[in-house]
Amino acid sequence: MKHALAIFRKDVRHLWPRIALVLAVELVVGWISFSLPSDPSGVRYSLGTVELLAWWYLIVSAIHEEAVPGDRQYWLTRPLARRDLLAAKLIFILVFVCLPVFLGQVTSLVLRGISPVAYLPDILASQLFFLAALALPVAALASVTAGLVEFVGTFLVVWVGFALIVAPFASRAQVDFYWPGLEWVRSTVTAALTLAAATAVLLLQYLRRWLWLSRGVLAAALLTSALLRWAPGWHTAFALQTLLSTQHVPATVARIAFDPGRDPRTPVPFYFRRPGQDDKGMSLPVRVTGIPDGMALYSDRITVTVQTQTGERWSSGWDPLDQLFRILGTRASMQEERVLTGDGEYWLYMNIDRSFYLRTSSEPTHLHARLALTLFSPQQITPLAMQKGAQPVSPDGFCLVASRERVFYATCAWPGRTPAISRLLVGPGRAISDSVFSYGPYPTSGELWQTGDQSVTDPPPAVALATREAVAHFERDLDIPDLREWANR
Amino acid sequence: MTGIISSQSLSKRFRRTVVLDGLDLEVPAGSIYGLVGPNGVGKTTTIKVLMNIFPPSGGSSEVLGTDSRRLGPRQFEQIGYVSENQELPEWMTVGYFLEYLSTFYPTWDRALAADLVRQFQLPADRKLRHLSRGMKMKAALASSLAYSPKLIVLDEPFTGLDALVRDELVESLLARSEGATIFISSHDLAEIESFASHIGYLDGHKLQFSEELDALRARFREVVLTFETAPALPAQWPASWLQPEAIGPVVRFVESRFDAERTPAEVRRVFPACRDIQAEGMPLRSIFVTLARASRRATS
Repeated sequence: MKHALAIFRKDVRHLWPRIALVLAVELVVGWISFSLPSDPSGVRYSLGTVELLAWWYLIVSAIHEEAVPGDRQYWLTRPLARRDLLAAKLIFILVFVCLPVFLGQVTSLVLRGISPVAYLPDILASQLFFLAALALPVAALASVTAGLVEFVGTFLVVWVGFALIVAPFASRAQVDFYWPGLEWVRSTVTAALTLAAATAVLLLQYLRRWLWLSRGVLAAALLTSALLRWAPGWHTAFALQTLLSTQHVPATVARIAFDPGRDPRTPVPFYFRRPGQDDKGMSLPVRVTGIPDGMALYSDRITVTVQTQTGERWSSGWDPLDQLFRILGTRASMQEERVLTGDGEYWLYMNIDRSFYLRTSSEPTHLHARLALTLFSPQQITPLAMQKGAQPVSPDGFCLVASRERVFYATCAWPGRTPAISRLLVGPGRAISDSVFSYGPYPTSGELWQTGDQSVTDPPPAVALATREAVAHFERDLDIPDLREWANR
Repeated sequence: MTGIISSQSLSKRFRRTVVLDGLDLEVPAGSIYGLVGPNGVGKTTTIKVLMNIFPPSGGSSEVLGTDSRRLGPRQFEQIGYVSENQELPEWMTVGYFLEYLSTFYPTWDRALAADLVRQFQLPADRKLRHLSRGMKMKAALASSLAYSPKLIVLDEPFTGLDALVRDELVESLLARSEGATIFISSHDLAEIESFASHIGYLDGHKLQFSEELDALRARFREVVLTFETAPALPAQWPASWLQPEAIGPVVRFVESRFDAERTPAEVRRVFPACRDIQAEGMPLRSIFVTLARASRRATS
């Protein structure tokens, strides 16, 4: 440890101007982010990028003080234990990257009048994700390069490679591979993978100097984390989420029954078709009962299986576009239409493979749907005033609302985690769905404050924030053994 | 294996390029061993494999009794390594460079370090990047002598230095390394000849020979034979006679296994009409030029 500290002190002695610069950037960015009432032009996002680049620059500089690849470095033949060298670099990252972030997070809580102790687990989780996703992978990449130019070149190659892998799936990713609510599970898996890979690379490089193996591990981890975006396993994640639910849901809650008496040709307010896929959109009338007072029900995903009497069978798998919904009118958002706020008549929307539909539309069929559902707490509404600065919203969050010219802006932020659903109510019967939507028990973005920005033209007469928490996750079945008029729907 | 440095069948390839091929080396303790040979034959690679900078492709080697692949801090505490192409932390001042390194050596002698700085006239407060090449080498050498290492490894340390600085470095090196083994690589034979006790000649990616310098000098002689008339030359020359040439009544060759009794007898056997035999000692440079030419001829 004595040697590790000697190396650390030496790095500080050499890199202090860069350390000072990065700390100054962080201070400025932190102050602007804290005091910025809203972020209509994406200033905070741009500053965040600058801050990230500054951290990376500092991390790469520290690693390259003793570049690992190469055969001319003076330290290779000095009694510097590799583990001391690695320890010195980790201490540097912890002291000059993680610690300032930690102090910034604590300060932001204190300035908002929130006890940092209450949010210590969230702070530590955000630090862990920051290390796993943003700091250590960069340190690992720096450890397989000999200088800044080589690092930047390699980084760009990796970036382009990542983009090339992602591009073919980008259109599908919007619907099939986005896990609303459960994204935290995939983020955790990705972070665990990058943390393991970065640790492996750092150990291989510093303790063994196995350059090509390290590069291979890094490339494989990047490829895997890119492909994880399209990994199956949504239902496994939902099962995990169900296990984490502490509240037991009795069978009487959220019963779903086919409602054949209603007009089967009721127009469907929206139709969500996958790009490049020939589906037949179809809605079945259903009745949902047993939603507790004030609570709301949301269908995360539905899997539909259809079997004809001749034995032909088709299954949708867990489809994010299949859903329980209600018809609210043209100005409602899709998310809002999926949130069922009491017992009543609803629709089960599903996409059926068109060729299967055309082959079997004249036959009576057996339809079975399994629905993955989330029960939300009663809605909590906080009225917000325009141009009043930060206004507290539960729990421990704040919102800033302002209007400029004819555009209305709103920014809300919560420490640690957001409410599962948050919506801005901007007038009678009119809401803007916030992009924030998570069941995650901890922050996975590497940041403590989870924010959402919204804007809309025409400043509204009144604004309020409506939030709900997820209280339970469970599954229900809907069985229709003899579905007739299949062709008319 | 015995000796401070030893290797058996050591080889190193970079992809398909063979740089070392079956190197068997033995550096006795306390010796000043010069590894010489033309540029590009693998002297630096040999040292880098021995110092665990490169892993060997085959064979094995030991340094200070440790497998060179396992050389670590404990061994490097006893090794001083200076190389002409070593990258030093150029942002450091000479004083801080020595102070920083002192942390890692249990045997670091501050008084000795200060003495070396004085002797080399190193400006303690000047950054390494602002030093001349010669001064940088002095700083590197000072940082490698201040802990009295058991083994000093020098890779082409005098390349590009003027004669004055070179002599100064050699003088200090010899004065400050009492009891240590010095392993030095160079393509400049003159600088090695003045102080090496053992010599190894690397050519064609192999060690052609390795022996004490005095023994080497003793067995090489430039032999001049004088005849009454131009003699008839043998179809097959003795293997130890290198670079034979005949100009009229004079025949010259280099005897690589000279013996005061055996060599004249061999001459009389090959040339019974020889009138006069003169055998002169050779400078190291001439010996290596002869060996290099003989090696190239054998290869071609």
